[in-house]
Amino acid sequence: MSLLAQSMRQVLRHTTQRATLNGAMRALSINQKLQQQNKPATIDVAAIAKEHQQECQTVCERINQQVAKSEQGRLFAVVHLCGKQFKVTPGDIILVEGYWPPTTGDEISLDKVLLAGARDFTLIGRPMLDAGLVMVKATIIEKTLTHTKTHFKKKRRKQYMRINFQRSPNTMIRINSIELTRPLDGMAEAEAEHSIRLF
Amino acid sequence: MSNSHLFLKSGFPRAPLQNGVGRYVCQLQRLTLKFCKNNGSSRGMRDFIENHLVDFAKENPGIVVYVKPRRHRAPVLVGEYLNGDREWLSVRNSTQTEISKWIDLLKTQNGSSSSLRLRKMWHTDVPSIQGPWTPFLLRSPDAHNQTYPTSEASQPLDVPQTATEKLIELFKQQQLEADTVLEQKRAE
Amino acid sequence: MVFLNIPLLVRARGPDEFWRKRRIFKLAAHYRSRTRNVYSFAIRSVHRALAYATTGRKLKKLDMAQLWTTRVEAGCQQYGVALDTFKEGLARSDIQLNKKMLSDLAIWEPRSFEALVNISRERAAVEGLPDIKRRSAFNQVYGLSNLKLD
Repeated sequence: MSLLAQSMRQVLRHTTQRATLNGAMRALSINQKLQQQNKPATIDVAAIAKEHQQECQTVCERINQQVAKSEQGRLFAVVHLCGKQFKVTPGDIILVEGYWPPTTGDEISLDKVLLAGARDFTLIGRPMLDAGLVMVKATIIEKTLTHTKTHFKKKRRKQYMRINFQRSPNTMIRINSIELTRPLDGMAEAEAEHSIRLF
Repeated sequence: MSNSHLFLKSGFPRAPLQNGVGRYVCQLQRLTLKFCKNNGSSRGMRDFIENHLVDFAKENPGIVVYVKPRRHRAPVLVGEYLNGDREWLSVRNSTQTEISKWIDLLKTQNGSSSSLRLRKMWHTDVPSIQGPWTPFLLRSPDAHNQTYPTSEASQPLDVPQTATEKLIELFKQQQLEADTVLEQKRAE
Repeated sequence: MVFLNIPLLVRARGPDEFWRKRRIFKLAAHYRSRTRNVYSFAIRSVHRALAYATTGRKLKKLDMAQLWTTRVEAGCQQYGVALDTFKEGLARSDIQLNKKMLSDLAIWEPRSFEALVNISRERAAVEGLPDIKRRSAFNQVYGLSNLKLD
């Protein structure tokens, strides 16, 4: 019974929503064609998809033009590294806590890029951007231990006291460069969803 | 130790001399191994010197290695860095593998790390590329052109309705209803 | 007859008293009043400080998580989206940015954050999440077929 009531309420909500939306459309004097899209009876999915695809293409083209003229300015990227996410831009220093094999002087590229952006555009990965689209290069500059952390516990009047000391390894990484390697393609990005990645 | 005692400085991650921007430069300049020739506590150190020290020096031409025997003292490692730091390590009764690990640590660090508590794991010179958030980010630009004081902005956002106003409203509503009823009757 | 050993052994008290106390006094150097100079007071407060530091390391992580949540919430509130809807929308669009990154973006890269909010909002509207009643009138999310919304 409650389920029925819920569904009823949902239907009601939909009708009100459509009414308000239409009102909004009229108020904004948006043409009738756009308004048509919201009516499920006359929806033309292919046309909408085509329209969206075109818009997507134009956006990609504009980004590509900007990159070709190298007007995009400084890039930033959100990379996933050792279980943590960092927002980096060239010249940054980030630290990895815990044991991590690479040694000083190693030059690595951070491949798990979740998001890359510039002043005028943002590329958002689902969950990661395509492999090789954004190159984030980094150098390892330091491997040390942290300061001594004291792990101290005490309970009053219970003759209980424990003390331990620990130092864990730390790795310092310098981000050298973030680059867009190839022009964007709105169509290809959608299709290449099942590209093979090792991670 | 507790976080705020006097002998533990806290700071933020920094790399000396833009290290790693062009290429990586090893920051360890001098390494001194002090040991005793016949004391048992420096046996591991003697092993290391006999078997691995020459290889280490060959692999790292940038590091000057001093070996200093001294009688009846515990073995010690001292590293001196480009930024003037000096790291002193006692390696009493350590084995050869332990000593080579400690030397590796001295080689890979940028200065004495034990004296600094890091407050952040991230450093950047350019925190924002698109411009940071400000309270005016999503505000309409009209707010900039207004001259204050304005009568609109001076009003409180929620003025409670007074009893008189409520009464007036009720009265007007009643009148409206009465009018409609009258109209209906006339129509009939 | 003189007993030298046994009474001395009774009084033997671990490591050298001076150095043992000095270790504690070093940590208490910046305390005020007698906690700095009197050992019996100093050790009490040093023990307490060390215990606080131990728990504080865990609390710091929790506090930071809370702070990030608050910041992300404020960030999506200014676009009229609730935090739960925002996170659900992101999760359903398979965007796996964590709280720390979202709060960072909200502060330092507001345009990127706006894009994320738009995407999440669209997704929420399409999937019929309770909060979002309709898709935005000005649809700013292009390439919806990429997102496989319809």
